[in-house]
Amino acid sequence: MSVEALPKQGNEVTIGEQDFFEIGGKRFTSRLMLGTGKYRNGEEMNAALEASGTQIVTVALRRIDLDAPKRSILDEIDWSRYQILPNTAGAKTADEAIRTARLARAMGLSDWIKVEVIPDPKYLLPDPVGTFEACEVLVKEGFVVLPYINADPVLALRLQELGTATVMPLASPIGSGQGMKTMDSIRIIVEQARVPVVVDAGLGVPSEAALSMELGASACLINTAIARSDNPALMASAMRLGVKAGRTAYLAGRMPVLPFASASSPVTGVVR
Amino acid sequence: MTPLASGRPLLMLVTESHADLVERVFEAVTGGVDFVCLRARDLDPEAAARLGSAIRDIVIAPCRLVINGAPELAVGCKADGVHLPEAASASDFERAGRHGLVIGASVHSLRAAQRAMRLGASYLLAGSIYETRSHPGRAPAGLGFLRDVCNISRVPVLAIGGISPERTPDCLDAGASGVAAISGILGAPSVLEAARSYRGALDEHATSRNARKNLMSTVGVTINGEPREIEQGSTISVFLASIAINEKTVVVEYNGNILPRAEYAAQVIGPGDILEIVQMMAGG
Repeated sequence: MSVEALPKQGNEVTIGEQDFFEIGGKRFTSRLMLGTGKYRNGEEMNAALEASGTQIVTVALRRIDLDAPKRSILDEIDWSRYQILPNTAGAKTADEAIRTARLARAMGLSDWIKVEVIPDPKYLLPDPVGTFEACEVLVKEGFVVLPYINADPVLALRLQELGTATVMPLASPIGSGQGMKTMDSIRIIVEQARVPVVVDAGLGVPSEAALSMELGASACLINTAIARSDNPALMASAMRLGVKAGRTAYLAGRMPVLPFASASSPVTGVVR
Repeated sequence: MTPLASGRPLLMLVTESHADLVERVFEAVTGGVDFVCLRARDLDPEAAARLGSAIRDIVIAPCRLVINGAPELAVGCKADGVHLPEAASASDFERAGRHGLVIGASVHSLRAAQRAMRLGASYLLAGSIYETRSHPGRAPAGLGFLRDVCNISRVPVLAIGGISPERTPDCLDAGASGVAAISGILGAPSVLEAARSYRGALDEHATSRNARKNLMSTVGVTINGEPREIEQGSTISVFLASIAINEKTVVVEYNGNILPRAEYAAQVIGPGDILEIVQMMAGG
């Protein structure tokens, strides 16, 4: 998209409805997805969702506590406003992820599934083999599959060939806030991708979200950085700006990196 | 405070004035009374102490004696507890508690029941349930009142007021832990037979209730990885409703297969069935 195609608001050039990406045949103009975990309460969560402008929101699936049933998140969020994205968090194997995905679909809300196969609780790094196996089955069963993966360009390619709707490489371990540790790999993933690349996990501040978008990612998925900030709604709003800044810069096209300086002012007619 | 829990419904005898009261109480205790409540409020202190000691000698364990009077009188008579009127002060409760007495409280309203529990009552005496000879013309509070008190009470509730052996099942069904009688026992031609008749009605009700409970048998199932007993013949819908779960917010995997929601109402859970019940939770 060229800048000329973008609408002008006053003197500000903005990107708007023309800039969208698609998952599972649906168009989204917000490039910030939000997780719903770790919020201190439902009110803070809803304020953050609102402030972020998000259109895609993740949830988990868990056994109900028969002796102390909790309110379902389905009752806490107005799901007419968001695309629900259930995840398979907690699954350690492909089979567990597949079972969770089928249960999530049976809820009757969506056939989207964020595939997470994570055997190790310390670093929460996804198992590439288990993830691939689960995706293979779920794609065949007609799910819209969004796999959470390490930033492995070859795995991303293989999943894309399998028919996943996106690839979701991590920036750094889940909930760590370490930022863009996998930048160079994500750059390669973006370069090869024919499906949207969603940078998921580890982003801590808006500059890191902006960096992801500057590299050409289609979207960012953020949870802890917002939920565990002092003011989730404010941080959600900052992340929204970070994502938007990065996306706009990507569209604008960055200048080349030079090994030497290039003066910004005319080099002739200098007063001596 | 002595715990009042006993396996069977309680029978309390509340005394009235009789020349041969001690003999009559003895017969009643023999006939199966669990509690004797000696009304000593109208007696002068000396007479009250004398009568209290005489009754104490014949009220033998497991039957217990509570005295409707000052906590200090109950202590003086070596009674197990004190019974306080609805108008009793917080200080009465406090002194009774200090002496380690069982504390009974008469209540004629839900508010009084709440107050008595807050002040430390060990049991409530709720009445009058039916019209009585001791309070002629006063409108009875009724079984509805008894049910309401039982619903809010954390301590045993005994029903009083016009209760005959024939009426005891209704009182127990309303949630009472037992009944109290006055002239129904002490004014009977045979005090012993009258007490036995109440005792029999209470025990029979308890037996039939246990029998009913045994008929309603349960089946062993595994739900979310835990063994659990559920009522026989329950459908998935009935079970979810019994644990206050809205079935639209859950998915049920039944013996390894996801069950379509339309089948919850028809699918009966059988012995050995394995269920997974999941819901959407917050997550990243």
